[in-house]
Amino acid sequence: MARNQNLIVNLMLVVVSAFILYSAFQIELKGSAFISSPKILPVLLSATMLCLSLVNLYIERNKDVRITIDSMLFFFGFLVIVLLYVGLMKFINFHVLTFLYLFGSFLYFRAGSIFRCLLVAAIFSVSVYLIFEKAFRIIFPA
Amino acid sequence: MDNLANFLMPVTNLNLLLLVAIGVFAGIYVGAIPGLSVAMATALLLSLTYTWDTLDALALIVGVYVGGVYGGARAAVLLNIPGAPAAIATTFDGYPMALRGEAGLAIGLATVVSVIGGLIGAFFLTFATPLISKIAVDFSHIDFFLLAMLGLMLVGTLSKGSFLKAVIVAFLGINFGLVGLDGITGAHRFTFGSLELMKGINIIVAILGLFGFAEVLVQLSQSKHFKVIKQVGKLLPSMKQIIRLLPLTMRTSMIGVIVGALPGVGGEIAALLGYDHAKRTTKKPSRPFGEGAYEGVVGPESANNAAVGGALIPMLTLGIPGDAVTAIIIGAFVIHGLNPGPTLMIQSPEYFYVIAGSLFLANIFLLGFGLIGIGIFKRIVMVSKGFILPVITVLTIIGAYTINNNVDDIFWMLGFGVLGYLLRVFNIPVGPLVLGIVLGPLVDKSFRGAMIAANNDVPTLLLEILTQPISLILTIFLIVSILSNTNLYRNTKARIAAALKGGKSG
Repeated sequence: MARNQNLIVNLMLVVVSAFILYSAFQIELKGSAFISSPKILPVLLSATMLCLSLVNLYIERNKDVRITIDSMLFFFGFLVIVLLYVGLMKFINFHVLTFLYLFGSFLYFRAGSIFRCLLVAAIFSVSVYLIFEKAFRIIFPA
Repeated sequence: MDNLANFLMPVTNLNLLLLVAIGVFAGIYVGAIPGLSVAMATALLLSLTYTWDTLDALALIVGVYVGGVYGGARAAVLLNIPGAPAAIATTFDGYPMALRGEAGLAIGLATVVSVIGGLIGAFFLTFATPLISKIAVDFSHIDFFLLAMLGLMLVGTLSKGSFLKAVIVAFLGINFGLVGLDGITGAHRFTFGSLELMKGINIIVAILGLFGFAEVLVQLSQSKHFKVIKQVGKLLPSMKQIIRLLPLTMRTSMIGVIVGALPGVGGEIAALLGYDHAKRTTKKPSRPFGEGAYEGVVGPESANNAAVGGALIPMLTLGIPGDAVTAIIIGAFVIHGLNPGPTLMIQSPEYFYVIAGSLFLANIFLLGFGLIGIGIFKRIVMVSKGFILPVITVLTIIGAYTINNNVDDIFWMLGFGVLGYLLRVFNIPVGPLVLGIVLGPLVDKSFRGAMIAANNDVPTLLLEILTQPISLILTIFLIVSILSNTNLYRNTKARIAAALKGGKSG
């Protein structure tokens, strides 16, 4: 990771505040007076955010905070698995997909033996089916 | 008479009785397992119960809330890891008690005083809420605006990390809460031409991400393993011990109610203040504090459970959440078509009385459930994170999806999860962001309503603030809460303290 991550986060706060302020000015007045219009609060708040984030940037200019992720690859690997799970939801039966996701994730985390991972994934997937689809009558995407 | 019948409904209605019991039981385990938060569980429940009858949903949520706040004590005692933020102070003496072979007694004490604190909180909720509601009916638009801003500032003041960043994210939260079509003029706010954004950001989706998925990511980034104390020892404290500790329990419970009732301040601060009070006022503790003093468990545990009743007071009377969980309960009211605030007691008092009755009942169940299942708990917390984290992820995904049966909501939830994770690792408090999202529409409506009432004339509005007692008091509190975070205040305070010290020694 980059060295002064705190500086990056503080700069992000400035950029986000400036972007919100810009977007707030795009809000239409819709015939109302500015002071009671739909844009008054977004403009006031984002302007304050921008000022405060600049002050914060100055105050914390020498402060360094680092994210400590024990294994970066492992962390992002899990995020990819989750995104795949959600991305495939419209195409593969939800319960089958949930079983595959859980089994794959358990193996990825080395949570236990293959048999145990298979068993827990199966029990949980069946529970999800019974509780959410049968009891709560939720219609899943596929 | 109707009010009494509604108050007793959780006892007389078997359905509600069972839901409160299930809620407390489940809440204890949710609160006890590090990584599962009460807020996350409540948010999940909210998404799953929105098709239910409102009273059923509220009974279950109140049960989980009470059980969850208490449940954190178990992990605090057995693992030295607070299962919930409200149990941080319980580790100070609870874990040393466990190391001395008194884990059972620590849990037993925590249970008994939690029940006493919880009942005191429920008592104040029941009797103070109708009175405060009567006063709150007279609140003007500007009063609601000031109160909401005060709540946001208090969260910023009392949460960990930088106050400046807390204010920035609180304002960011308000802007998130304003995304969509303006209810008064129909103007588009931050929609960027997207149909999806016109509906606004769903509060539950945001909360599920910020509390649920973010927690998964935080746990994922740390490879900590839990070690559990094996020896539990005797469980029940003696009557003599309870009587000796009762005055302290009553005092710290009162602290819990008052702190819990402050908008935006939850059980975590209440528990820390309860511990601090116990430490300062106990002249002869059972042992030195930090080495397993019983009083060190009594202070925080009675205060955090009493804070539950306290936190519900501003939510029900003013529509302003006392903490993150009550912010979610406001979501429950809204999706069930109710409007928490001063008019609730006039239009639908039955909801208030059922909540109050459920709170009493939940605390009674807590006494039973709190003292059983410690063996099962030890096994559950030993379950590998490799099993728990993927399962929590599935639950948060289902929770986000079920709100509108929309896969896009899941991506929003994941996005908020990553945002929540980044905020947490950079020590930026998440609480103000959530409160901002929840309070955004109220802040907007009350501010613009106040401006319209003052004929869009700022001096007239300022004059109103200065001449109306409630507005003036709230403004003073707001200014003090902001100033108390400035260097000017800290330097002045230090100078006064030094001068007083000098005066005394001189």
